[in-house]
Amino acid sequence: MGLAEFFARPTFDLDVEEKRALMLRELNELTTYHRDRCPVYRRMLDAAVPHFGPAARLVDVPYLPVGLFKEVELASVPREDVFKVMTSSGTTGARVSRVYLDRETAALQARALGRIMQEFIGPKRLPMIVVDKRSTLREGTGVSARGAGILGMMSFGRDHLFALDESMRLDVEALKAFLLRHAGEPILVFGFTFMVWLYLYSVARDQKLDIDLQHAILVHSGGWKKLEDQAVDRATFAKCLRETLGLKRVHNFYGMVEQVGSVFVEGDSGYLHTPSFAEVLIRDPVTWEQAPTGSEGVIEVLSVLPRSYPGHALLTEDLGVVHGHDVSPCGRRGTYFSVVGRVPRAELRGCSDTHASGLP
Amino acid sequence: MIEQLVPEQRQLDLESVVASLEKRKDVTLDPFGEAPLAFAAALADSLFHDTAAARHPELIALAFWMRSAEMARMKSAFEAMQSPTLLLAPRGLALHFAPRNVDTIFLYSWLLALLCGNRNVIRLSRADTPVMSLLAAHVRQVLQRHELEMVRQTTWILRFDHDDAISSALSALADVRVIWGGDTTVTHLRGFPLPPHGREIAFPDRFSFAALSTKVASLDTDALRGLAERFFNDAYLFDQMACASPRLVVWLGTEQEAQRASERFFDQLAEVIEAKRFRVPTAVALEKLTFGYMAAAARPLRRVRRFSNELSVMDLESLEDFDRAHCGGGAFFQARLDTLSDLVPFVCRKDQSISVFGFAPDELRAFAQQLGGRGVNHIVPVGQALAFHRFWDGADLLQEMCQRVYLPVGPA
Repeated sequence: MGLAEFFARPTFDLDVEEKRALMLRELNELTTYHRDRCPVYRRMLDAAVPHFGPAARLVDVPYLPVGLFKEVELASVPREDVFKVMTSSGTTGARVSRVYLDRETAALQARALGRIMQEFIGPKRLPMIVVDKRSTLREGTGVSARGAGILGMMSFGRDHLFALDESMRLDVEALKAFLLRHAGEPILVFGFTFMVWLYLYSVARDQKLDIDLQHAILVHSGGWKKLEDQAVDRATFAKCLRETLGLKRVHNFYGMVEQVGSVFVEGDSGYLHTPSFAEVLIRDPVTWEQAPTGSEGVIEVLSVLPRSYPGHALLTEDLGVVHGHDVSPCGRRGTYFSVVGRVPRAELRGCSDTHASGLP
Repeated sequence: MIEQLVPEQRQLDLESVVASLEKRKDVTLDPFGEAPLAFAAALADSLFHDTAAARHPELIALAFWMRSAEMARMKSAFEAMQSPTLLLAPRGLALHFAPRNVDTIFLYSWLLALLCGNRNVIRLSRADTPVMSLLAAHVRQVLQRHELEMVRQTTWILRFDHDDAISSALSALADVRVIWGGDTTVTHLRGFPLPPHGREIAFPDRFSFAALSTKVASLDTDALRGLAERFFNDAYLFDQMACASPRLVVWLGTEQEAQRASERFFDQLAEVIEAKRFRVPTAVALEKLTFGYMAAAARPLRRVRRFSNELSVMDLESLEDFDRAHCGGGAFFQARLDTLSDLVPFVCRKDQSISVFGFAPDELRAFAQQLGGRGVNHIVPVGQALAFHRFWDGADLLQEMCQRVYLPVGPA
């Protein structure tokens, strides 16, 4: 199986048809590869796809629902080869996803992220501000999604500053000193969307702080859900940050712990881009066929990188729209899309436990 | 803080509620007397005439169950339980804990308790639904009637957060306690003692299934459609989450017959679902997809068939070690056995209802006897699984709500 071809090309410059053919070939090999090595995956495939054979199109590649990672242990390598276990950040008491990486897949993840980030922040490590507290890196067993996200991004930065103290307060002194130290240089700022809004922007605005981030690139992730009740959407976010902090370059990204390599960064067009080794499909939520370009549906993510676990084709719990496949308004090639939000929660009726769920 | 919905809407503290209960502690109504029967008739009438209520099948079912013909039948049954040496008397105060998200099931135990002359306190879950608001409004209105004053004075419908102090205080005053919904809730509430003479009826976690003869394979189209429609009612009302909802279909017959029967049956069921334009939300469809894979991971499954978002069928290799996991929303396990007797070892204490088709009454009776009480207390024709009856979950609710006064004293 050759990943070389994916990394040999520019990350956002693959021809549509070529990419499709390359990915299809690789994904078919991965399905067989994982079927041979992960007995649980094999059982699931045998039950769900009785006449198993190579998929003729990307949409025919058998996929797994992302929620499975909270319930079933999916690994294609023996225990002793597991190098890192990634977990999703869950609310207290909720089950979390567990993703098993061996050294190879972990290395691929780092390499993929590097290739993607390079596109947006350049080849050099930049002085970096992390909008979080240092102790986030040390939370819990395994690596939480927030901690993993930070750690992953930290490899693109140097002279890292954690902008928040242990009480989540903005360390204004340290921030100003940092900005002075790196005056005029490009800076990387990274944080989760709601963190940036609540603990950096809102504080700067309310305390009328003079923080100049005109040379900074903000990379943020985590979705708009938490800011919904404050009526903050993408446009408002960018506008407010530009007005208060001077931030001109803001890049959102969409990704998930369950699929290595799938980090979709927002270009200047405002759309999310697929790198050469990942693809996005939208499925109609009734027929589950591929939805036409421009139609909203459930997002499926495909990646050729997951080798230690069968995570190469995953159906997410997010709704989105693919806007195009060839060239986006910002000049990048490859599928470009946007995320609308989570699939709305639904509750089933029945004589259920008033106590078990913790709900009244 | 306690929110009272009936008799009037107000906010109260625990002391006021307890004081109100204590004030009425010697009041009971005549079992199946004028007042309780008038209340049932009036509430049924009120619901039948409300077009908003008509939109909720469970309210119509309730109103239908409260109709005077049914009440008259129950009154006769009640009177038949009495004799010159045996009188039935109310227990006193019945305390009901409603389940989280079946809006209407507690109404049945409440009404039975009321008909037996008891005072009633009902604790509703926090979730305020349109059905509950509607129902509470109807009850409040009906209770304004002059002739229902006694019922009004002895009915409290409350809503409060899980509060051990409140549950404990109310339990200490209850002569009978009814708990609907979940092993965890039952276990938790059992921690709050009833008075020494107190009785309890609990409805914990349950599992139900359908036992269908492979004769289904040779039904004509109309008969098959009728069966599928009745099955739809059993399964899809309450999103397959009621204790009596079938989550497993067991075919009784040969392998070949079962395959044919299954194919015809589920194809027909899919058509019925489509004809009714019944739809599940996307989140439920995803949940069922995930559940299907989990089931395949956990046990040998021959096949997971997704007909649509509304219907998926998981073919078990066997019923051995079946853990009764389920997710609701229209996901059915499927298995086959040769005969009804073969089901006996499978049945366990958690099993409640079996919806049946294609068996003679004496076959079913023999099967029930073979079970010897190890599980299953409700064996009904397909379509009747959710039809509430005084004989529910192994209990005679009518008997449970009253006490027997024995007086073999001879004529005066």
